[in-house]
Amino acid sequence: MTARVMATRRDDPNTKLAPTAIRANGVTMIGHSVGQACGLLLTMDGAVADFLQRSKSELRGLSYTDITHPDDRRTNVSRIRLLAVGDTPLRLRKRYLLPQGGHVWATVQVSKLHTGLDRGLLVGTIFSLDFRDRQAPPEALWAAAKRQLRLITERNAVLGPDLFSDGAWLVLLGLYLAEAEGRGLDIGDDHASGGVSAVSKTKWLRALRACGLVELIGDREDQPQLTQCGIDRIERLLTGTVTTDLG
Amino acid sequence: MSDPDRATELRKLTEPLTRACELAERHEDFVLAAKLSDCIEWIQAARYDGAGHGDPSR
Repeated sequence: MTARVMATRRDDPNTKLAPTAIRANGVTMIGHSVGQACGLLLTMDGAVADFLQRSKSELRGLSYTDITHPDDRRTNVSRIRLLAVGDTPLRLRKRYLLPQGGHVWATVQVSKLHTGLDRGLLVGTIFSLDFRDRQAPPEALWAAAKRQLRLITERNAVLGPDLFSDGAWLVLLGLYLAEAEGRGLDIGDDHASGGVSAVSKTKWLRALRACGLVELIGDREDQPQLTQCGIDRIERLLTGTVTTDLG
Repeated sequence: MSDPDRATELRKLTEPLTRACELAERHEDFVLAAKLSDCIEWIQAARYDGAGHGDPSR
């Protein structure tokens, strides 16, 4: 069972918060936190508090923005603001500030509960990012994705675009970069996606959804995001290029 | 090639591909549909836009 499937099951509000970290697909699931729609933290698993190096009582009443790295805060807030009740969980990669200084990287899946009295509450499922598995930090992977896009653009300019067809890869790279940079994929912007037209992008998004690499937030065609499987596979490929570059 | 000739040629080339693309979508073979769609777009844009083809400077 993948971490994402486990996370989806655990997003069920009827499921009790789990104290145990679960490891799968190279990421470690730490646990859950629950907060108000405005971001105030109400409760969390003990493992989450441990991960953030604080006690539960220290965390309760803080906003998630208080413990988010300043460079990630704006993106985090703007993406959560777009999340609607009952949407597919939104995935964020972010840094949590530690009380003694420094930070930890995490992937957080955030959803808004859609049933009962808890409707509208934010539930975060937190996964630690283990760079021993990934071999490259997010900044290096982001830079590697940018290099890939630049290489394709330069190749098309030098050799002519007629010879190549990269729709699927360009859409995947575009989504990866959009998520890393905290913005949505602009379906209509051909330039940002290496010249892939809006029609082609829409077709490839559908194909990539069928392959399980992309999903839609809230079934909205204009809100695609990579699945956990999609992220894992792209990062495996990008990690290879980072290692090659360094070696 | 005159514009009407070019339009006819374009239609001859793309119509079977368009039908194949629609068939692929009906069969939910979205990868094939995307590839065919790219092919149709490429024919329309690169081959029959009046600028010729195979010119790397374009």
